[in-house]
Amino acid sequence: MDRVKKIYTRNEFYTAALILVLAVFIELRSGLFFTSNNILDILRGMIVPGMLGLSEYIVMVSGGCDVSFPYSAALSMYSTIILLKAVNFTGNVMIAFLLSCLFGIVIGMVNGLIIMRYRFPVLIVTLATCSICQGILFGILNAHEIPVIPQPIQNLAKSMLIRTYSEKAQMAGSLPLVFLVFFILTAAVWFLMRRTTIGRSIFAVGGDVSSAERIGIKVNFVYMFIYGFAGFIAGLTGMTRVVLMDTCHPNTFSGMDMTVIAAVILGGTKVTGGSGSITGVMLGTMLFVIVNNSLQLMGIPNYWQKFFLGVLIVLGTGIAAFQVSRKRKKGKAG
Amino acid sequence: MDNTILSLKGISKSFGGVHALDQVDLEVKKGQIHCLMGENGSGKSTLIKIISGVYKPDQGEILLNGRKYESLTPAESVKQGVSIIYQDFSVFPNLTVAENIFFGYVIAENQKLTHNQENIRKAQAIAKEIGLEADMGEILENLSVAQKQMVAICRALLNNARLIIFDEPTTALTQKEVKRLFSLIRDMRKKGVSTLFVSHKLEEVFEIAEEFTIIRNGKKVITTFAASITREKFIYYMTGRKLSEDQFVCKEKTEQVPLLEVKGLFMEGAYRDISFSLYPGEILGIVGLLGSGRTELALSLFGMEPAQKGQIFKNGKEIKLTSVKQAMEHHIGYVPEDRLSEGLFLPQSINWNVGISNLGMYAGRLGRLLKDKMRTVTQQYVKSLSVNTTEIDKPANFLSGGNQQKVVIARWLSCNPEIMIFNCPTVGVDIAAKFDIHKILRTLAAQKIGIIIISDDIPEVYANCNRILIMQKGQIVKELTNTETSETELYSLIGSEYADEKEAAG
Repeated sequence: MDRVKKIYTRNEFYTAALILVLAVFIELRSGLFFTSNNILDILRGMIVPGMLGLSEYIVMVSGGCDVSFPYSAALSMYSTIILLKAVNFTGNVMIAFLLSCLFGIVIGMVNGLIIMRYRFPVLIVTLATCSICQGILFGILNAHEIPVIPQPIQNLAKSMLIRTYSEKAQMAGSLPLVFLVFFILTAAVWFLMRRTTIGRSIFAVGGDVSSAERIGIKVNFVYMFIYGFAGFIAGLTGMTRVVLMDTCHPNTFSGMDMTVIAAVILGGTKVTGGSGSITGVMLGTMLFVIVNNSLQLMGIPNYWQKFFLGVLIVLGTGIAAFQVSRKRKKGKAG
Repeated sequence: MDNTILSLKGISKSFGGVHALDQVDLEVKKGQIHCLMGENGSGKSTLIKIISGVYKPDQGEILLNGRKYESLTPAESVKQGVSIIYQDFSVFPNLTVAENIFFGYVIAENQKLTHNQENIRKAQAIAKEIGLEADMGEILENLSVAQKQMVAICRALLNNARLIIFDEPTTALTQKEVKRLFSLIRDMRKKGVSTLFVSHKLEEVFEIAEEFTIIRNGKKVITTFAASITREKFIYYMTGRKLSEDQFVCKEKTEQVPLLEVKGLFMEGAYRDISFSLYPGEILGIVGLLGSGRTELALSLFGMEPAQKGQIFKNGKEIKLTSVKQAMEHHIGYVPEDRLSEGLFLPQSINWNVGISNLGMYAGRLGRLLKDKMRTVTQQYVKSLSVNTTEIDKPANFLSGGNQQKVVIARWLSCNPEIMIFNCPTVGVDIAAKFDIHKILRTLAAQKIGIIIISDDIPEVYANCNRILIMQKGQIVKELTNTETSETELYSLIGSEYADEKEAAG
């Protein structure tokens, strides 16, 4: 009985319920929600925010809040593209991903070094890094949109994993091959955070840093790992975005930091650190994608979407705050 | 010396010229329960940190398991079987019970994957062995304080601890839980695990320790057996002073109108049918165990969590105490149980901490703050209450527990209270400061301020309250004067299991 009760108290449950409610509502209004092309649309829409969400999840579990990814991802991807174009690259597309990840790791390590050595607040450090990346992009590299990307990447952009056709909507749908990158990353992060010592150490550090040090966890190494890996994901996502959009635009991630953080929080990850689940991150991301994409199906104008997003953010943090205050009241007795 | 597991000889340690420890000797035998006693600042935490390898001694030698060391490292200390259970247990509230138990082991063995069945089975086995009833998959923060402590003990045992050091283990435990802990420590002794128990609670030492060592000002005062020491001698060794107090006698006659009278107070889930009177010059004690409703009652009398039903009369007139502001308007002051989180603004200066509740008194024209006036008043209280400080601009967190408590008292005194409520007035306070605070209470009573002490410290209440109310499960079950009862009777009345042990200890 106790297990059942616990489900109701978890954020993920409410997010899942909200998704269901929205899905039913949109289906009733437009009849077009549960169509194969829409489902694939949602899945495609989840790729980029989902991957960034995984990166943010890892950082948040350790107790920090990373806002550098919009421009660290952009810088990684842009640097890779101009490099590949400069050498007229025609090789394996994996090299493109590898390069972007490498750039991402380097930027991430900068975050990691500062945080590990000086233990500054993560928000401040990553804010600075984001600005610096922006500066490098637009100041030094003079970034602008690159509409013609190297051929191997273009080929990948055209490769599809699934193709469907919906009778109901009279529309074709497809899921790009690059979705597999998202899928594999999610599985890897799940395994990392749930089963490996380093992953559980991230939780430990997020729970209580001094206790972690006392039992022998090398906290400095953990911090370097977190931000190096977050940088890796940022680089990976940058290249994935290029494949999805079939173009390279340096401002493509602008403003995504807030929505990704909101999605992760809505999924139940605590901002204070130490707790959160992959399921939650995926549910939170799905909710945001549905609000963004599918409200269009009902003809609801753009600014209302922003309104709903704001309401969801308040709801998400509200549920968490409500649970905390209920716990505090329970603990006061005696 | 084969039966000694730990032997410290001539340990000295200084920090920046200040001697924290001076030629201290300590010996813990195998399978022994040894208690280390000392006031705050006596050096006992430094000594513990040297044993656990966090600090290196300047002089002296450590003999651990028969091997000589000049200094230890945390890793070596753990390897030799020394485990410390800190006051906060060093647990991870966000991880599962099993993980909390085996994480240290995982790190020590350099395992890369944590969730193997082997680890979980090991954790389960140890938990069962010491009687911890908890789901291995439960998140730790859902457990009670006592259970969390058991998890910390499981972790120590999984690391093959031969000597477990407990740092003030009973602070957050109920009487029942303390009993369980002690029986667990005795069980571990049978298995050959030694315990070094750091404490300042006299009653517990007498109950559990076989041998104890008292240190004061960095020097070892005495090592002796529990049987051969009395309470007075004990206080003398701990403080270096002969401190004693007579029972408080209320000098005022009690035929006047009561200063405070409550009738039929009720709060759901906390207390019911609470009725009593308080006369000027009295010190009224309300005693009960954790969960008896005494804390809720204290908060209600100060308007923080108002009673749901019942009446309150001050000087014969009915009043409402539905907010702290109202309580203060009626000149009621409240010194809370936890001065660190509820009483003081730790980073703020002593001056501000004293003046904050009565800023109106220091307001000049146009609401300007008369800083000099506030400083003068603070200085007066620092002097009259003997707060041990030369600088009232120092932050409050630099003071010792007893002095911090005096600052909180000073704040309320500056509001000219007619009634003062003290919730556990000397918890975590050194013995000498404890006696000081008791003197302060008696002085206040002599000034015809009505005082209520809400506490579970029986000896304190017995000595300092002329009338005592016993609370059990939310109700007042008995009213006594302190002259017509004894400490033993009080223990048994509140439902404590200490009654028998007290008899035995004398």
